[in-house]
Amino acid sequence: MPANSKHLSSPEQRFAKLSAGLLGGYLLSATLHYVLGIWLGNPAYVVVTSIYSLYLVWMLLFIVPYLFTNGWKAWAYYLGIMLALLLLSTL
Amino acid sequence: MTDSGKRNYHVFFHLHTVSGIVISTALFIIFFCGAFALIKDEITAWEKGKRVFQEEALNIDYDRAIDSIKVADYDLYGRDLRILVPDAKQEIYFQLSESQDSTITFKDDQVYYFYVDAHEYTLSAYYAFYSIGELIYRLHFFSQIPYVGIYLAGFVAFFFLLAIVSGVIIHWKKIVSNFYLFRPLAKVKTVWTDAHTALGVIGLPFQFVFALTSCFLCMSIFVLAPANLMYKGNQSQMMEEVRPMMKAYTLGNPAQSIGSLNGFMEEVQNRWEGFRPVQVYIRNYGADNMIFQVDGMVMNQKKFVAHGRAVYDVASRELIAQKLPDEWNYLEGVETVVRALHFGDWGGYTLKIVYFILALITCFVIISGVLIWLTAREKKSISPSQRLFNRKVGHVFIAICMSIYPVTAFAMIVARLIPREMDASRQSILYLAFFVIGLFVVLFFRFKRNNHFTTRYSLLAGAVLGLLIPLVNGMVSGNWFWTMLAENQIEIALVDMVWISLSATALFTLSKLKKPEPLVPSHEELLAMQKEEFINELTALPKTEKTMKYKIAILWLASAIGFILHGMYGLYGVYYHESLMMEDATGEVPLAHHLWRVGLEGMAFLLSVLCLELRARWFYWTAFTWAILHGLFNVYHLATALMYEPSNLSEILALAVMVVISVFLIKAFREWNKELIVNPEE
Repeated sequence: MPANSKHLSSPEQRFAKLSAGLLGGYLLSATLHYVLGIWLGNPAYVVVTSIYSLYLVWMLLFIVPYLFTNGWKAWAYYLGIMLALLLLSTL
Repeated sequence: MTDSGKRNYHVFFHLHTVSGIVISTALFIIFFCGAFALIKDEITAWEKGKRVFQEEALNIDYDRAIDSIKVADYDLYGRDLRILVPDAKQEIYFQLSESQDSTITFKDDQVYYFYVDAHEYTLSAYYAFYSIGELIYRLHFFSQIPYVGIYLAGFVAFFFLLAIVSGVIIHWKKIVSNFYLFRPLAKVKTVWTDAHTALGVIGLPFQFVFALTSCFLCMSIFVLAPANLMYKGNQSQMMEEVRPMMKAYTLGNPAQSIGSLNGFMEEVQNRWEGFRPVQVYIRNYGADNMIFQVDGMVMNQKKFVAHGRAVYDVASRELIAQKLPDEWNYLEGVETVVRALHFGDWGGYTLKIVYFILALITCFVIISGVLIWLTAREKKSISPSQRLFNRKVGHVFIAICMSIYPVTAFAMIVARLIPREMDASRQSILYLAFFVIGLFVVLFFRFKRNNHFTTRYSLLAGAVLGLLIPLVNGMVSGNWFWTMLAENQIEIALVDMVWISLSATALFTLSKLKKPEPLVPSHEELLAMQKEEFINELTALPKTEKTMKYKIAILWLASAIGFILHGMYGLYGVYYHESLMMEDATGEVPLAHHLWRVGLEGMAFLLSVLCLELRARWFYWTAFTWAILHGLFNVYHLATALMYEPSNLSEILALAVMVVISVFLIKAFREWNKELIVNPEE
């Protein structure tokens, strides 16, 4: 069964979702691990864990933008969370 | 289901389908070649035909090996030596780091790597004997595509992970009930659906493990980027904490006399029963703090990965550091587990055979997935041009996936027949036998446009060629697999036996294969329907949009200008005192340089002009094929520029524009195709 076309989005939305998932998803996953490493003060354990968790989190964050109707909104959330995490890590 | 639940279900379904279809061919190649990569060293041993004496090979005389390296005129002082103990190839791999010695003025900063024969202690270059096993192994991460191939494989792994997880989500509620569902007498599509689901579930843990470990093995750079930030760029501290086997020691003073390197291994093996070395490091060669370090596994069945390490000071012969094998260490454990799971080297041949079978089952899951996609799209509601395109995707996919089996068997036979005097040309001959012959076979099947025909004759050819493999091997070398088994030469016999089992499986499948009903409408009928569709579409368009050839001509011209700009940008470094001359310049322009110029700018100009004058199908297909190759090259070029010279902004922008031009060009060609179908003669 091909997916119902009423659930498919415009080329612009498709680009927004793909870029949010692929690029935004990676940046957020990397930021998450980075901030965790700084917080815990023990980067070695976080780096070693990221050998598998980085890709798993990235993959999940790849799916999330597709659940939004507006892909740019997903980008906004991702950038917002990243910024908040980075700010918190400097405290 | 609620409305949003329904939408989410469609989203997951769509993600599963699209990610699966996009990577299907590449993933099939990866799993097929990956299965053979498990026994690549055995394939090399089989090709050489020399008896394998593993025990003797593993008993390395380190002093003798070092002596032969010194005789070959390598200056070892201050270098770190990385040694991989021999596998079925019976060769010791050596890698020499650059020297850490800062006192010498004329320093040899080169890194060297080569093999040392485990019995004769003679040196040979890494590629002195190019094995078909090496070719297949390298293809399983697309290493034949320079620079970007491994990342391509990495992204295939990433999207495979996505397809697995979204697949589990859509099947979650029915995963148990559907597993037992098999309706072989029902419609074609349900057979493929049931097979896809049932085998997908059986292989799920295996596939998940491979998707995840391959992400890391191909794209570790994505882990290193945030890790570097965490360590504020202090790479040596990071390596020491995260990968202790890489710990470096500052170089001491030159030693009065260099002690023997033998004896340490025996001591480790006495200390830990069942210890099998994997890697040996000799650090700070020739210094008074020279170090002998061994990493390996204890191969008892008590623990999954019992990784141990012993570090000795060579001068005092004392153990200065160790990691006990039965002591779990998370930091070291993760990467060890990732590698063990991926390479399957912890359970002997039994495990490798299980891996091999699971890899081939995964190949079948991929094929059945694509066939579901294809049969689901054989519907009246889909436009004829779209249906033709879908069928074409199917023909190409089946052609590539099915023909890789007979082509691999053929290349194995060729590999066994090349005499040892021709070692230097092995790689070219094997590339010819595998890639060039393979291309012709794929093209032949693709234009037969009959998936049943492709499957039947690929399996038949594969089975016959596969049975010829042990025959050819026996006749060439006398290494009949029963004599090899009798001599306990499992490594060599294994390769023949794998191919015999594959042939038996293929013949059994052939006997079960039924001829399907011919597709309705047929290819010709669809072509006629497509013409109808295009006539309607084109008459609806405004007049000015119709003549695509001018658009194409301009795009080719733009492409040619782009190449010229790119060439000029390359010269701008001159203003900033960059040297113009290439390192090995002789004053003569090599032929390859001319060929690139002709192939890029020349062809673009030529096609631009010809496009205005020629209106024939053969010209369309030639130019269109060229446009696709040209587009792939532009994407490749942009990717490598982004990886290797991201600071060269103007060049990257020019290359990005080239990619855009290529996209427009290919789109314009598709439109022109419609015109040519509607009006074959002007």
